[in-house]
Amino acid sequence: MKNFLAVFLSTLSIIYSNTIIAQNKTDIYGTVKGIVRDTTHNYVLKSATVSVYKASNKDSALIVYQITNAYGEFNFSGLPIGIPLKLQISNVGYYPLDKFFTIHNDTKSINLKTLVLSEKSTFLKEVTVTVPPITMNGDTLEFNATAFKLDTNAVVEDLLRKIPNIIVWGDGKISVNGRDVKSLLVNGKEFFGGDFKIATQNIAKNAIDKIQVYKKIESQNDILDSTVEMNVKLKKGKDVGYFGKIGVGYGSDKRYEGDASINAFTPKMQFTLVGALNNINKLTNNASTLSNNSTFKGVGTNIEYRPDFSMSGINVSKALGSSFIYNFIEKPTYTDKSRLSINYFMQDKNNDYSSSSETITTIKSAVKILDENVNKRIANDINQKIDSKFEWIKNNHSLIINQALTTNVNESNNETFRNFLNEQNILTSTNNSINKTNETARVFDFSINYQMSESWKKFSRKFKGLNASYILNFDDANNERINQTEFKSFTDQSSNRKFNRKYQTQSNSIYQQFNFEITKLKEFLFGEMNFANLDFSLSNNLSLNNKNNNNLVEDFNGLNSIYEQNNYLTSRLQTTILEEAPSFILLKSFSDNLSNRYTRNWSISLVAKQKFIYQYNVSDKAFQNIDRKYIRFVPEASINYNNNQYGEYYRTYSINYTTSVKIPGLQQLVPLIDSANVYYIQNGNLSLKEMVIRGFSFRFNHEDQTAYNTMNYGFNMGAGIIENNIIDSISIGNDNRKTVYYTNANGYKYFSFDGNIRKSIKLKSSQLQISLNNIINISSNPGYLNGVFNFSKILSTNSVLKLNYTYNDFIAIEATQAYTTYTSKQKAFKTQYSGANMASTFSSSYSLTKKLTISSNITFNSSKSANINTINFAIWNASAMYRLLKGNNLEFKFSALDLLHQNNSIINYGSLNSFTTGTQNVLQNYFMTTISYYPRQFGKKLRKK
Amino acid sequence: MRKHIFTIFILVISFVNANSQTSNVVDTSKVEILRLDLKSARGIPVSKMFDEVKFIPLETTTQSLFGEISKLEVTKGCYIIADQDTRCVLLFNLDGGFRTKIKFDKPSPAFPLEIKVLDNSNGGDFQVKNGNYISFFDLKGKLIKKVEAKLVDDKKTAFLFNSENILVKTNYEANDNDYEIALLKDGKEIGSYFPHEKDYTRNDQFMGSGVSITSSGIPNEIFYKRFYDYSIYRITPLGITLDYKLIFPSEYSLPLDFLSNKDFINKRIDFIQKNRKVFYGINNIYKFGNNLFFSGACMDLSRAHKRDFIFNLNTRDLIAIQDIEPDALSSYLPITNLGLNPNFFFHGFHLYKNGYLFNSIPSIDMLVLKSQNPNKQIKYDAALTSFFRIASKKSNPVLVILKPKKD
Repeated sequence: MKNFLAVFLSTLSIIYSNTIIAQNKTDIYGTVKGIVRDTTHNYVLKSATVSVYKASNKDSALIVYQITNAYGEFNFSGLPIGIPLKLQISNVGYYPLDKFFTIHNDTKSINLKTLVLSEKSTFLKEVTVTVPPITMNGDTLEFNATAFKLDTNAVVEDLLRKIPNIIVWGDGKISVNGRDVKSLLVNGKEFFGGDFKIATQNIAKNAIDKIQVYKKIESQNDILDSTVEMNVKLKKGKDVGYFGKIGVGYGSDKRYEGDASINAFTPKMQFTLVGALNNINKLTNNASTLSNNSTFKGVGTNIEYRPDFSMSGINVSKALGSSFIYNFIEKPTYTDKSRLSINYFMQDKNNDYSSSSETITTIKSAVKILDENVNKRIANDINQKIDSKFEWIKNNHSLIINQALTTNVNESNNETFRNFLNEQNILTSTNNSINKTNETARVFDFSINYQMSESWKKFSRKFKGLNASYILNFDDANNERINQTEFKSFTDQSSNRKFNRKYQTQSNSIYQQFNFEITKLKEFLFGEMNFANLDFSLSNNLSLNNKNNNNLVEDFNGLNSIYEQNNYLTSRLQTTILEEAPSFILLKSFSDNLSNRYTRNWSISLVAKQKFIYQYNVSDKAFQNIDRKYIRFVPEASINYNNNQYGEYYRTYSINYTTSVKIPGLQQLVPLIDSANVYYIQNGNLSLKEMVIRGFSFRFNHEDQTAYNTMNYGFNMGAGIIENNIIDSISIGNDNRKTVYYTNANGYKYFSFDGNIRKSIKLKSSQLQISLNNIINISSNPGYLNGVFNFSKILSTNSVLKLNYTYNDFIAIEATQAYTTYTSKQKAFKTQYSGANMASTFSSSYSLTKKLTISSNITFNSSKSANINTINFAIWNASAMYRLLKGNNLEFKFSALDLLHQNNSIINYGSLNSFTTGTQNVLQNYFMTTISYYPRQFGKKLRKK
Repeated sequence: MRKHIFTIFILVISFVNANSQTSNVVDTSKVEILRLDLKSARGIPVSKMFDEVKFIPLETTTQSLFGEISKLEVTKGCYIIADQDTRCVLLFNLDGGFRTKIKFDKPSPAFPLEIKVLDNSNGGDFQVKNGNYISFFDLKGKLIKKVEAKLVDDKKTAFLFNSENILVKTNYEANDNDYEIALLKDGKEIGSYFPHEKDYTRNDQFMGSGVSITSSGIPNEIFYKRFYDYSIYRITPLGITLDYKLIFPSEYSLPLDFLSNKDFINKRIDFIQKNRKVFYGINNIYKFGNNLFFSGACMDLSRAHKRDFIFNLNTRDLIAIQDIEPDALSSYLPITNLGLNPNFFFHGFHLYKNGYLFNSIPSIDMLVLKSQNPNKQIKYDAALTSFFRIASKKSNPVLVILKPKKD
């Protein structure tokens, strides 16, 4: 920890001293000003671009640029003194004008007075024109790629870093003149899923025609209400291309990794194929993350897709992904879009896991029992998913069709050895079990959603709009499991048990949901009647769920060595649940607008909803043939408010009240009790009522609209109660076996808080971002334990402070401090459990040369709880990366992971009346060498003659 | 701001048989065709275009704070301002000092407040039309009376030629036809123009380009312009005359068959949205001697695309309003905020009265214009000096009063 603080403080001091240097240097900087005119037409040029460069033979870097103001004037300060400079003025339709000058130390300022531009004219003889770096085209600021001198291997990110007033932040965000870029497009479209880094780190600079920056008007109500959008315009012929990666690595302890990807695009189509395999805990769950992590990386502390040293067990993963996007309309807009996207993802994962843990459980006042648990698991999962999305938008009509087919084949072998000790630390029982499971499951999801919203082209139409959707969900699973359990009691030998039980379960369900809403009905039904500006909508939700469950359970008969049917547990069950929820929605919205100053909008909605639920069960066990009806009034309400103070901030506030109903399942009402679950015997309760969950939430967000060093913050708060909460009434016997009985109880309460604050600071040559995230959860959980009614009060917190610093394109540093706590108090038993984990991470990346980068990250972990001594360990990883070839396409990387050999992932968590501590097997120290090749091609290859 | 963006008129029109309806004939005998090469538009110093320029900061107090000027009138030492944001009519002295404020309810639908100065002060100095009611006030803001407006008649009365007692009505219905314009005397029709099939407000799209009738600056003469048309008509008690037909370069012009080609029916807005530089109409038409003011309405609101012009009928010079250059007459401040944003495009000049044009600039823009002013040594007059000392970007707008030259 001391080490971390030392590094952290030294980082701050570097940043601070850098600021001081920057401030001191400002004192010896000079100024230059002037006015740009078109004398032919006799006016000043109000949006001309004026750029200042160094003008020596060795260095012609762009120092700064400005757009002339409402008087055609430019005025630069902070320019270097005593060195030759070039000022270039450009304006669409005019020849650029160059002016060379040097600011002398004695005057420190130059007034270039009126500078006259000549209009491009067919009558004038064409002269060779250099492309200006920056131009204003209408209200679009355009950066011309060819005007910036960069290495041949440069990418978009390198170009952006060369442009004054544009910042590529350490976390990948981009800001222009202090305002965050909200979306980054390539030729007017999202590029491979919209992750900025895919575009900024892969598209070669020589494929770029222009970087365009413009304000996208968010509201027709006020032109000052806008966000910044960036478009990378590719050169003609360069809108077809591919980029990708092929990489392999091998290291000590037989660690290996390999990945390959290819991303290809045309003006209308984008296609990705990616594959990866490794045994170093690099796992992803979808094709886009896999693809994002398997493309070229620029300078920076890329923390994603690292080996996960906190992951349980050792995982060997093979993954294959593909995605395909086709835009039927080449230049989509908000009112004209037609797009199909298809994704495929497959993962074959082997997990080898072992753990050793102890759980202390309170069973009555001042009485605690101990559960020692040793667990080994070997599993293989093969998951496949193919999904597609079709979006069609035409004016005020939109249609979205989603489908996804997921299959899962799982094979696992799980061995558990448990010893139970009483409060005197005397062994009371043991339970050893082996579970072998084979499961195949398929899930198919389909949804279609049509929306017709109010058309501004047909303003007078009284029918304002409707929403209609249909959702279909089908799943089908086959599960085969053999459970071998041996239970020995040292207090009551008559309860000793030995099982060898085989379960074969076939289940399938079809879920269908129809939603329909007619919006803003007032004008349609009542014409121009006012009703105090109230409007209303009608909505209906209908769902039908059919579930079939066939269980064949067999017990091994040792006498004749065959499995024989267990008639009690073998069952067929069919469950139908019908839910109908009509609702009446009352709406009121109003706004307060002071032109050029602010806009404030309120919207209030009150929803009166009645929910009818019918549950119907058919089973070959007569006692499970039950049907139940539930009727509940489930009101909802929301108030939304936003306050847009132009040029200052945009704040949103939202308060929501929701009511939901959760009915008891058949397994809670009348379960089949499986005696093989020796330690957990579950009883049903036919008199269970439905749970009613009432929740409030409050959401606040502040978005800074000022131009420099912005600070953004926001938080969500939630609180609620559950009426008739279905809780456990647990009896723990002398041999530590739990018998669970469900019952209803009131008194469940929760409160949650999730807040964040982010501050960006632009220094002279570097950028700093600081963020703090905080999560607090508090709950009061009722429950019975051995007949005593108890409230378990739980407090958990999670705080993360993150500092991200980049200095030019040489150094990137990220420091993170994470702190999590957990406290559980049992009121009736006057007991308390608590624990805390702290992790301090310091990551850095330093480019020694343009080709050689070294990176290091170290995490100091500290884990403590009331029950064990504090455990400290550190994970230190380091790597050196060298890039070769003209386009930096070839990369050698040597990595040393867990250098201190201290990774020892700790189990440390609590639940209602217990606390668990222990260790598990995790990835540990290894060294690896990787070689990667990044092929890139934009535009067709030119054949050499 | 909202109300200034685009007044969208979704009307239905059928041009079929339009010419077969009975109507009076527009006098086109003296039409002057003006070919305007917009790229040749020039700049001009303020003092060469105007005889007087005055900036009047409107006092900001908690009581007087308002959004922006939607209607302006000036009478007897007093500015009368209608503001839709606060739904108020505010009275300011000619020096900008706040006098009083009248608050109005917001009826549904919330048509803009209309103000009209009354010549005969017996019944009040001015009237305000709010929904179905017209209220009469004196210049202290005292309510004299409130009467129910005859909604149908009043809504369509665009102008009254006082001396002849002739009403100019828009969207006039008669003989199973609709007429864009009709002249009525003592309730009797004396002229009807631009006929359409009855109830022509259902099956087509019309993009409004601001107020269709503006003062010409000459007593008993008003200007009129039509949808998707670059012609300037003059209405007098005697009838309608086509004065000017503006012709722009093709890149700024609607297709010649835009109104006659049925393929454009219900696709007009799409066309305008896709062809953002094209003027879909003209507005802000005023005339001072030889200077004809007009603006082109289009979707391209960028600064590079000039839309507001003055054409000198004598010298044939075309001046772009955004290029009128500040000089000593305007305290080296621009007369519009067009150099900063397209705000002016939405409202144009608020009023033309007694040879003066009235514009306004939001306080936030005034502060920027002051900070950018290269003439840092300029001494502003007392009103502006005081304004710049105390104003914030939330203060009330500043009135800009201009007296154009006639030649």
